Amino acid sequence: MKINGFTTVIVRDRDGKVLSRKRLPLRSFLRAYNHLLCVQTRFETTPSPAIRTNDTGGTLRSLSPGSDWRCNAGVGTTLYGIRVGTDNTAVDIAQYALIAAIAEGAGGGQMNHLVTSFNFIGVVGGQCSFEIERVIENNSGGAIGVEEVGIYSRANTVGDTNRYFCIARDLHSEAVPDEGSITVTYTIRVVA
Amino acid sequence: MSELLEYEVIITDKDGKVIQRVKGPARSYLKAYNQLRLGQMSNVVQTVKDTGGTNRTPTAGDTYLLGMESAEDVVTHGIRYGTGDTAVDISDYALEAPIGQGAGAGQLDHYICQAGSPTVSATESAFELKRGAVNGSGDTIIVKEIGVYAIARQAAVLYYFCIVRDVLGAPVTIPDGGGITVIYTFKAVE
Repeated sequence: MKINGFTTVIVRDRDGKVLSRKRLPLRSFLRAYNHLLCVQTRFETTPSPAIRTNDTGGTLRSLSPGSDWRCNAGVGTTLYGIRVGTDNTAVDIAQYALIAAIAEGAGGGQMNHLVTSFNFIGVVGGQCSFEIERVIENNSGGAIGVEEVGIYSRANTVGDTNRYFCIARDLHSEAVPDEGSITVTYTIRVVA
Repeated sequence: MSELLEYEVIITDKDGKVIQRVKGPARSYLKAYNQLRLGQMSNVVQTVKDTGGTNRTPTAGDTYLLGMESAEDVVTHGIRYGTGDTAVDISDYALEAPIGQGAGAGQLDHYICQAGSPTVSATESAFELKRGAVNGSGDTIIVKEIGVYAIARQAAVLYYFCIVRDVLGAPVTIPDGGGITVIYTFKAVE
């Protein structure tokens, strides 16, 4: 069975007026997503053989169960939570990060990240859904072209060190005006 | 890229010979799966119905959350078999009629439930969750549903949640002395 879902991207101008709203099917779970599910399934502190995957810096890490998949990032935090970037390279399941993730800040090419929040929609008909959402503001002084969105997750690694893994990446092409914002929503759904 | 779940059911006779093999896409992630996943992602406790129908508030971001492996003879968690054939409802919290552990009438002797390591190719990542059981009941047993019970912990106490349930397209019959093996394959595919 396919876990359905959507990515919804809304762009607003400085006055909050909606300039663009697009919704695309969710097709973006990456390798790290499945590896993190596997490590939770086994719930061994040190799985043997090791379950290894690349963190967002490209370094192979040995996974351990615990806070895996966590993406409840606070304001200004870009180590995890929803991220956006400027590269439109096609999605490949082996990717471990956005290709050109936009950094936190109000300088040139930077954006201000608000909290990553969650909304449990629950059961509607034969579906059960929840949303992960983040508003990201452009205070850089110029327009920024967003081409990719994704989810960075915090997870345990062997030795109990938290590392960060990209579990989803999708392409969305949007221009975010100066003082405007982009709202990215992942709707994750199971269907009976 | 999509997340897929598939199952395979293998029936053997008393000599271990495969007499039936059924494969199919699972259609059956349940509400509890999405609630437990939301708990992991948000680090906010969710209220989830356990396999006994009682609401629990499992610890988010916990080592045990979504644990699916289990030891021999243990049927609180891991892959389960059942005899119910009522259509799957997304809010189901247990198999309709799970088969108990043992060698008595209508029972199966469950082996360990074990997950493999992820295999990786250019287009997919996959891992299997597998469990066998032997029918020593003295009679045939007809299996109509399969599923997965997972662990989550609340205040250091383990509770169990049905995260997957599938009603088979056609029932499978395990002869006396024969066995059943179910393999669920969790995939992220390009």
